[in-house]
Amino acid sequence: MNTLTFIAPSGAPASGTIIEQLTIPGNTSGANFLGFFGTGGPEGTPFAVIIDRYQDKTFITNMSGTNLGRAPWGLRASGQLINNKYLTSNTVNIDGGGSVALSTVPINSGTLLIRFVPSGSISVRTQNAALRAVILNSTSGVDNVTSIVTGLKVQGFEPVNDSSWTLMAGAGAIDNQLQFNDHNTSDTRHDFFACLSASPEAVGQRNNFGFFMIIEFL
Amino acid sequence: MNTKDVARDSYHLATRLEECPFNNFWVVLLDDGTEIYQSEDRTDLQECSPWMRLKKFCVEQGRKIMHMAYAFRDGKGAQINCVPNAGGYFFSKRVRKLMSAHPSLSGYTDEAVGIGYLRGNILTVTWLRNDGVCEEEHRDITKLENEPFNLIRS
Repeated sequence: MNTLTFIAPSGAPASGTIIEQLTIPGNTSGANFLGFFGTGGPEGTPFAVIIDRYQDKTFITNMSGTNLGRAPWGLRASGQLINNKYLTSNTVNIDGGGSVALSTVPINSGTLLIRFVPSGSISVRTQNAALRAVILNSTSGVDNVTSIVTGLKVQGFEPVNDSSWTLMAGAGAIDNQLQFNDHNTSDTRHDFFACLSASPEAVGQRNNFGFFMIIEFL
Repeated sequence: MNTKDVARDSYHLATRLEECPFNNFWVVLLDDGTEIYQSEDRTDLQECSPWMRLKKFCVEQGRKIMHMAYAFRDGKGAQINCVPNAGGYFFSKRVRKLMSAHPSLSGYTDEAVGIGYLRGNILTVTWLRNDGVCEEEHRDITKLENEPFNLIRS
């Protein structure tokens, strides 16, 4: 079977943690996701992000915004991911380190690593890979993979390959996706890194959206 | 050697239906009347994909695809027919997965195969998902960063 896995690329929790597997026993408030917070993170103050500003902390959370990486998994499993905060169209603040040009961001600074492994150990090329911000519909599944999410700005870029952010959701977004470079060399594994930043356009929690990864391969 | 022999012996392509192990498979008709069927990916070859070996074969042997279809051996699906004499033909696989905190939707994943043809600059692709749903998509290939590597131009 072809496998597509969302992974914490570095930082805490330990490098290479599969995000779906990091969960607290007894968690019934939804599976794992990315939570974007203010400087206090999910359990500190302020946890909220001010309207039209971008997040200072990124964590693995459930649907309620609860940090899923805390005990009993130990100190390394804090659930905190590398924070990529949108500053301008071509700069980012990585983990509070100040302004950095997107074109100089190393690949392991991604918020998220999406790993694709084709079945049968075959070597494939990929094209048209994209990470989409999608609205969710509780009855029919992914409501519409091309609709623009509203009430929330989501920005993204592919480290090493992009020199400017792509607006994936919110007012002004033309498309809802971050397009990755084609992988023209055949391989048995393909890694895609994404740096993500979010900003609320209105008061209140946002949890009716998700990230949908699409890869074409042969 | 004739086209069939070259396709089979030098490019490891299936030239007879019996050589195709799948229930659902692509089949193309070449300009000399030869039919090529989808065969298994071969990890022992430099190019695993039979579609990509077919592309190499067409380029190196000067052959053109005149028609393409996606067929169902058991008749449970409706055959997908591309238009004949198109500017090119396309085959791809696709996988999608959702990352979300939604209790029932998280981890949603599907796979599909795409069968397509080129008319002018428009690539029309029919995606057949593993749940049986078909989606049609149109792409202007002049607006893509690169021409699709798996497009075989006629």
